[in-house]
Amino acid sequence: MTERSADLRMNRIQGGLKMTREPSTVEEPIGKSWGCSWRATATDRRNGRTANVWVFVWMAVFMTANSVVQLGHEDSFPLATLGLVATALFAIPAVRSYGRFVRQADELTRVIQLQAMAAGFAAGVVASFLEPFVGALFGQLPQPAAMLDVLHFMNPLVPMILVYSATVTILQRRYSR
Amino acid sequence: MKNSLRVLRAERRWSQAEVAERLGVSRQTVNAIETSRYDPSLPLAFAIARLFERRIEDIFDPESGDK
Repeated sequence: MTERSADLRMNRIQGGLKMTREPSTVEEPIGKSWGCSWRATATDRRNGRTANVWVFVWMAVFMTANSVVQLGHEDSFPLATLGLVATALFAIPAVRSYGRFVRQADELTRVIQLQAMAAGFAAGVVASFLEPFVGALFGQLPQPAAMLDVLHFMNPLVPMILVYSATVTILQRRYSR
Repeated sequence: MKNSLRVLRAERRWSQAEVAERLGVSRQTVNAIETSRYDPSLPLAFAIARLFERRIEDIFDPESGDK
């Protein structure tokens, strides 16, 4: 908001329009629920929506391409190439829109996003180092084959996303109190 | 870093949302600065000083380093 429009707004408020509530001069706790009380600025909401849409489209393209290749078309060179190109191509707007979201974000939101990305990256690195050992451990234990599904959680991408999301929620909560 | 943002805001009878709108940041940012959980960037500190017509060092106390 420019200084002029802020002044105009104040004049409107002071010029007779009835205020709906007395302006609070004490500490205003943002909320008590986990994360969902975070109110982003208009720019953050707009950029966040755009980034979410592109990431969703990117994931849909990846899952479709992956499913086609997995469903018996592994030998198809054109399909594998198409899947690779499409997934790489749709990554560009997704990453760029997230980058724009972070660059233009409210500075506390940016700090939270950067800390969450750092935590997520660290979790991914740790998980990738632990993956062979966990695989060897679970391979030797007598157990139903389904238990081996736990290995999917050692795929670096899974802890990366989980830790990133948890960190965003925790930090939003911490800064909102 | 301690600051007198809440006092200055109270003097003007502005809400956190109103200060946030004038500064172009979220209300959470104003709240986090007031409660000393977050130290603002230099551009935001200047914007706060300009908004309240004070010097930065009149608003922020670098000696109190608790966070």
